[in-house]
Amino acid sequence: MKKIREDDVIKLLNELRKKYEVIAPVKLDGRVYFKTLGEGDVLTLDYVNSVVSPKDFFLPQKERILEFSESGGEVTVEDELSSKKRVFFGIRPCDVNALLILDSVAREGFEDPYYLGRRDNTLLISLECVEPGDDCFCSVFNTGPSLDEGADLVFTDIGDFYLVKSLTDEGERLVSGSEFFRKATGGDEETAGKKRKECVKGMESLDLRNFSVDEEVVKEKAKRCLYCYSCTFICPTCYCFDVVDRMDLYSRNGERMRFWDSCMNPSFTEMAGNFNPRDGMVGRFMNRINHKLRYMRDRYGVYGCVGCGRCIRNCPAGISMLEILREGVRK
Amino acid sequence: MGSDTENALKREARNLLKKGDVDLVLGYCMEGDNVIPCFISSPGEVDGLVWNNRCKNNLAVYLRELEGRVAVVAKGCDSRAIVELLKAKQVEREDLIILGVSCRGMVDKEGEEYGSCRVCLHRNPVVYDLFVGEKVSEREERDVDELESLSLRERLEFWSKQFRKCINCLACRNVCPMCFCEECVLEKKDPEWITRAGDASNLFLLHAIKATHMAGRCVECGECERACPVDIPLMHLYSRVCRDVEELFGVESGMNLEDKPPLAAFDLERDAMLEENEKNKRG
Repeated sequence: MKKIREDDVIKLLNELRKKYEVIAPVKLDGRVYFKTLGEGDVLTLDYVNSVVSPKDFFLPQKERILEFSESGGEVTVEDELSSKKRVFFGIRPCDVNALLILDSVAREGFEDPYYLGRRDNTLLISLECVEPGDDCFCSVFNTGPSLDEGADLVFTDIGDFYLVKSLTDEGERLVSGSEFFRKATGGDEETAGKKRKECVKGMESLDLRNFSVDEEVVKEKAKRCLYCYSCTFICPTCYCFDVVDRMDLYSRNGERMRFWDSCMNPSFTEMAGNFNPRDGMVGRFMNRINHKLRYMRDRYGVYGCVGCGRCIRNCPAGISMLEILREGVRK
Repeated sequence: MGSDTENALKREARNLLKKGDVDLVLGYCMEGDNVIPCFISSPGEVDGLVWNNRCKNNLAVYLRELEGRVAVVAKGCDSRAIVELLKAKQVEREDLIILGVSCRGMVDKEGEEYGSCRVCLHRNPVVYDLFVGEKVSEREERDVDELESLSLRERLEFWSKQFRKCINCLACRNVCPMCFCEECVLEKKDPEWITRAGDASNLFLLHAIKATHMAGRCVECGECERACPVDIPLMHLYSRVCRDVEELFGVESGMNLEDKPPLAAFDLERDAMLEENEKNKRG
């Protein structure tokens, strides 16, 4: 195991910027966002988690997936695949687990080359949590606060230093090729272990073995849902998107755009002739909860929620996923 | 925040339900540490009602969807939204019993007062059937708008920076008690007025359209800002266009049921309308 001095983290990232695009947490108007580091950007290490989830860098809110053009009867199509080498620093364990869920989705049946291209070309340096946020409940799903798979490197705050654990060969290469890492002691590892334990203690513990979605409880909550869609947009595991083709005035050249959609939007399931199989608000809300807590578990063997708490923090109607879980266990 | 008000509120709610005057009481309850909007349909549930400084939600947003006769707890901004909904014929007055309460400003979990509450000039309900608690004194004057003193270019920069954060979730529209159009220009697909997955200028356009549609209608409850995941100070924009409407037509949104909605009641004889609204104000 290695460690790195806190002051050296920014030096390391600056070093990495020579070879990679580096994505890291920065403050904007007092809140934390992940951003591609540019000149003048100030890294912050003091945060619970980002406002918008890291999925934006793998499945962007909007992206051009291909371009097409027609000339002399010939149509050419060009895919917009990403091969940019990137380092994503500071991603929290819950969000790493969320990416693992998105991977399952992107690999199921048809492969999603746009998403997977970004995933394959991005090194993840995860920052474990040593202090839970008010709305965090990763402990419920075991998706944090510590991390044993999914990232290339895992940093743990142990005071003046970060303990560094490499989980992949690429992570190992990064560490061995840099002068900023030094050998960690047994004491460092002990400190990290203690901090992780403390962090878990500060969070909810729920035994999900007997969990099932309590439909009555969920329906009751659906009544006050305002269908604002924001939970689906900031959720690290929501992946639904829409696609639109945009043509030039002569209908010769165009681009295909993909962008986030939301199952909370009535038009999400609207069909030709205005028929909507999932009409009514309660049905839409029910589907979102069932998708996270039932369908994904049935399909991929893991819950579709990682307990990052973003939806709880942002819900204007005070609807809490954690409360739905509690009720589902209590029942 | 006196629990006297809360108790009085419970008493009135219980009475109304017992007598069968209403089918439902729309108010606030607790869930864990959170204050949440709740729908109470039997006298036995009335004890769950609360009134404190965390009752931030504008309950008027639920009224259009509710069936039967409803008693709604209304602070200043809720009551102003109700006035606007009545003016726009979105709810029936006889289906409502408005339980007016005065507000001292709502605070978030950390105890910080919301931006919309800090600038609020109407903490007392403007319309009600029953009033509980005590009236509070109102601030007389609006704060100086700091953005106003900036140059056009600086303001453009400010808002461009804000809109660059936008993730196009439309939460601002979806939580707004005034946004009740069956079809919304912001996500109409055929024709597509706002380019989906467009660039920064499209987002700017989206917010500009939203703001102009709030002219003369925004009741300054601040729900848009609270729902915005990326903290865009949207209410500032909407308040600003409402100030223009006030100046031009003499109407402050959500204050008077008799006011003609300035941008809905198109009148070439603008002066005649101004006069009428002035008269209403005096009367």
